[in-house]
Amino acid sequence: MAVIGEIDLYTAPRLQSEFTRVLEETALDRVVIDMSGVEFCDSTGMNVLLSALKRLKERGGVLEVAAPRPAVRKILQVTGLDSVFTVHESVPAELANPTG
Amino acid sequence: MATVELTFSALPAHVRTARLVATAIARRTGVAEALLDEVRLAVGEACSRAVEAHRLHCPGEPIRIELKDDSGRFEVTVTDAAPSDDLKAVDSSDGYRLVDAMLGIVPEMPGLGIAVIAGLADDVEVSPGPTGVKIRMSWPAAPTPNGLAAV
Repeated sequence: MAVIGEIDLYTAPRLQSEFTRVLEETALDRVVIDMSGVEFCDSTGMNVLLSALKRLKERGGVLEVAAPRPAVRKILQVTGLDSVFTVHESVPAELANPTG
Repeated sequence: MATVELTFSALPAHVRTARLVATAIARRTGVAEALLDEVRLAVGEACSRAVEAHRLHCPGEPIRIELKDDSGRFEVTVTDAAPSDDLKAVDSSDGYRLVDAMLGIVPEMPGLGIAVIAGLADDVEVSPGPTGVKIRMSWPAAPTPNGLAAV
């Protein structure tokens, strides 16, 4: 999944409902979020990711974060969530050219 | 003396505006480029917290943000008019429900916003008062005569 733009109090509800939709409609157990297009993310955004992680864990899945920009990396570090999510420097090669 | 003062109604959409203004003034005040992400994030967290508190307690009241150049430091003060029960609640298990309500959509980690501010600003002071909460934070700034930061 690729997320683009700014994730904050205003936009987080939309991301939250999109996660809900994707997780309800699919049986995915590994979700990698391409954050390369995210310019800003605050604690509201981190809470959305945590909520998605929790749901995935309930079915034995994982949530991973890929290619965060420095601003996003900062909040991952400050919150300690960089040790909760697997953080990839770039989008994993096997996922780099999505076909669907 | 305050450089810029802004009041805005308690709408999530305005938090982005507050972040943009704060970052622009910080840059102009001479805050190092490397610190601007921190300023943007901390100001965003303080304003989001205030918006959430107002939406719960006093949606009609505005939130105030003051940005000033205080003798070599860039100082930001975010003042709200809502009870500060979320701050007290962070410590008590009973209070978590209230914090959850304040964080609204996804209360996975209540109080995360305040923790982020504490982790980011160089100097932070959170003052809960009878009429609202004041969060003051500051960063070092090195203004140049033309208002442009040295690179």
